Amino acid sequence: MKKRFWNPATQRIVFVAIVTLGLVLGLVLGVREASQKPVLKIGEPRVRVEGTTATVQITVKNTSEKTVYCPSVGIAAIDRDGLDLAKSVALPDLTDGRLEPRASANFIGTLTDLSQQDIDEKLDEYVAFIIDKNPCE
Amino acid sequence: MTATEQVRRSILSPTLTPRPDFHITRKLVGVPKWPLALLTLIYTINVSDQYVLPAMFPLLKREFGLSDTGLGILAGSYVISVTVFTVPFGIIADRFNRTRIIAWGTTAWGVTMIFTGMANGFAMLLVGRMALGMWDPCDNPTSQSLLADYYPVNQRTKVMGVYQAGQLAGFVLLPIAGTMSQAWGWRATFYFFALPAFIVAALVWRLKEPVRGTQDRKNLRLREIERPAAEVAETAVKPAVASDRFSYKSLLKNRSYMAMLISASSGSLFFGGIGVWAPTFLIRYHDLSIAAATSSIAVVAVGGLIGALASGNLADFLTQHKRPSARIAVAGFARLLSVPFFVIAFSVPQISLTLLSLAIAAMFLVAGIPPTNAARVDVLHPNLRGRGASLDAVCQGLASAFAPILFGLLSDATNLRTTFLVLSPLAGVAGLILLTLGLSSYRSDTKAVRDQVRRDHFVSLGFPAGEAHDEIGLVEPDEEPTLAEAVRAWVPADGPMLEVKSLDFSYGPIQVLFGVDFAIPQGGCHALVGRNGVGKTTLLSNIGGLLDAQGGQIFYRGQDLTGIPPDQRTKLGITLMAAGRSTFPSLSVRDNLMFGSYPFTDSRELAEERLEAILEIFAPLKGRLDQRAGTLSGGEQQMVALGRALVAGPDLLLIDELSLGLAPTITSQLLDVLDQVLECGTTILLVEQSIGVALAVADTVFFMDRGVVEPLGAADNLDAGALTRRLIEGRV
Repeated sequence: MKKRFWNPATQRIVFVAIVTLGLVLGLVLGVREASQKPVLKIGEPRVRVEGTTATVQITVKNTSEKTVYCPSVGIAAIDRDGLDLAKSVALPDLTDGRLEPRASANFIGTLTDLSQQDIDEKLDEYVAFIIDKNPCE
Repeated sequence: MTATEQVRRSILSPTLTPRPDFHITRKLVGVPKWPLALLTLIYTINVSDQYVLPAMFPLLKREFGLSDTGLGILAGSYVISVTVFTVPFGIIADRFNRTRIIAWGTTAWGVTMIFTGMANGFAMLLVGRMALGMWDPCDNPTSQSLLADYYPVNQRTKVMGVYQAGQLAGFVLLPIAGTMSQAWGWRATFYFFALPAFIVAALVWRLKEPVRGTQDRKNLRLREIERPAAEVAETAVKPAVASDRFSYKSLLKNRSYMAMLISASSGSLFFGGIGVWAPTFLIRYHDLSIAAATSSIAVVAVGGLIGALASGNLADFLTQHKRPSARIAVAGFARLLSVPFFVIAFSVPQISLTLLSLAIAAMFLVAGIPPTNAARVDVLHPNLRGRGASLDAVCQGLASAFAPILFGLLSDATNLRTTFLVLSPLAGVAGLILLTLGLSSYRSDTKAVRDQVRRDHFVSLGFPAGEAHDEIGLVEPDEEPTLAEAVRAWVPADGPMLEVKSLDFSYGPIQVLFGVDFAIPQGGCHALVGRNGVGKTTLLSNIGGLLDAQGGQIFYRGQDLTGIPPDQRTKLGITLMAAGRSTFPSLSVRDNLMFGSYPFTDSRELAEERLEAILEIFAPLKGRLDQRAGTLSGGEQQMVALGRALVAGPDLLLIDELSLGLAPTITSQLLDVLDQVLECGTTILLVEQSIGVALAVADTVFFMDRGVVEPLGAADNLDAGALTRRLIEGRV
């Protein structure tokens, strides 16, 4: 009698193969991802709030040994769900924004779109992020 | 023995021992806990995707430059996907192998998590999100249907309570996901969250698929009927599979199911809104910081966890004690009781009182879920439970999704406090629906299911469909005697007094009992002989309730003892006299003996009379009543141990190694006492290594070796020499 292809033995083999592959893949990818460090490291945002205007200053460090970066940096105020309440671009403070290898620079930006209710009830934290690493020419 | 002594000793008769009805509680034993633990863990993992993605939003947003609309689409696509796929998976759950559905679904979930971690843009994220929503319904409806067939009907709510705790445990994963994504990036978080899914999927694959409705059939006490094998082979059909009779339409006609559906949806409508808006309420009206308000909401999860576990126990307890509608009643009252606490929580100015009330209210509200889930299973045919759970999940999901909008609209029109106070009665409405519509139809609907299960059972055995099978009468739950009553009502003509069926027991990986089968009638002494280490004490400890077997059952006077703790077995009439000098060495002899009166603590007079009778039997103890038991000789300690067992007035006395380490004269005295005990009507199961002792007192003998018991027959017909040789050789 002809045996059906999708019989219990085949199902078991396919299942074990997928589970094993998934475990290995998940573990390898996870460890690889976790061990990767960003080239441009962003420090904790320092915030000054006056009324509904927040000024956010952050330090960006170039951890690369060779490459010079001219990064574009963004700042945002986010709510509990991670949604933006306000966002803006931060500009280099006292420098031209050119980050030599292993050098740091301050960036500063202002958020003006916040309302008092946003600040009182919705605002979770201020975050800074690299919009573009942008290696310098 | 003088006539007075005889009268005094008759006080030890088990018939004089009061056996009042008492509340029997069963541990979840005799059934594997592994499936429940595994399915609960899968529930936790499965709900985690609801929390993982929001924790990643800020990171995804920066990396892919997503707008808030894009994030909203990602979140919404999941809800849509779950809603669309829940119904088909309900049908699949009712038709195919459920353990395989969960195993494949969980594996697919893990693969999708890895796929999402590899996303290079919005499109891949969206596909991943929708796929996760697709696999989500593989688990919940299917697991509920499985659990109903894995675990006894009388423990259904408790099991559902533990399972529900899995969902609440999922909340814990939100901060974990947040921390992981901050430390290792969002991709690594998705990869790592996928790993446990593959492991549990592999474990679920190994679970045995139970026959649908198997626990319901057990609950009806339907046993296989002897029919010629050929006839059965010709006419037997597989247990009924899903047919038109078991369709979604039939769900809508089931009044109690609909009552539960509406009630659960009302509850979700309220709870969904609370979950989203409660932190805002705490910020607005109690001046909490956002972080403090968000973390304060953890009290809701804690309250919910307590409610889920407590209500399961309470509803099962009441169901086992002649309250057949207890599941609906507990769920209804729990939801109703949540209302005043919600009102207090939203009215008072003190934050501590608000949080306390909120926790209590959440406890009551969530307490309604496990009994409702169990009751829903009760009123649905085993072939319809997957679809029943799926429709319920869809309605609750939609209610939860709509709730924040409703709260927001009302809050804009009035204010948040008024909104909460106005909508609080929704929880009460949910309770009232159960207590009116649900209660009025629950009994008739459960009866219909029981009748259908019975019909299916006979059809599966090869009887023509439609036959009344009236010869097997069913006892309605409220007419059914409690276990203690049934034990009392039992008469010897009903069958063996003690019956052990296919009992398996292992100490960790070492199996000691291998499908032990034996039975003893009421009256007489029955000896179990065997070498050291063959499992005699283990078997006795299982009967006494000190150990819980991994498989098989023990019936005492026709009642299954599975899960009943040892103290309650003593109240039912089983007393174990353990091996060795089983006294409390630091207690006085009197206290040791009086300890035996535990089953009837209310009757001090009887205890004193029995103590006197024991002192007459064991004269050496008379002058030593205040002496510490530990200072007595070995023989005297054995007298105390036996005396204590006799004070209990057991119907079945289990004695483990009466003669162990005793001088022959002491052993002889004790055997004389056993003769008197037998005259009182107590049945004795004696475990012995000494063939001489066993044959001297026993009426029947069982031989045990390597975890298996073999009946040898009447002791009078046995040759002591041959039996001793066999004991040494260890043959069964």
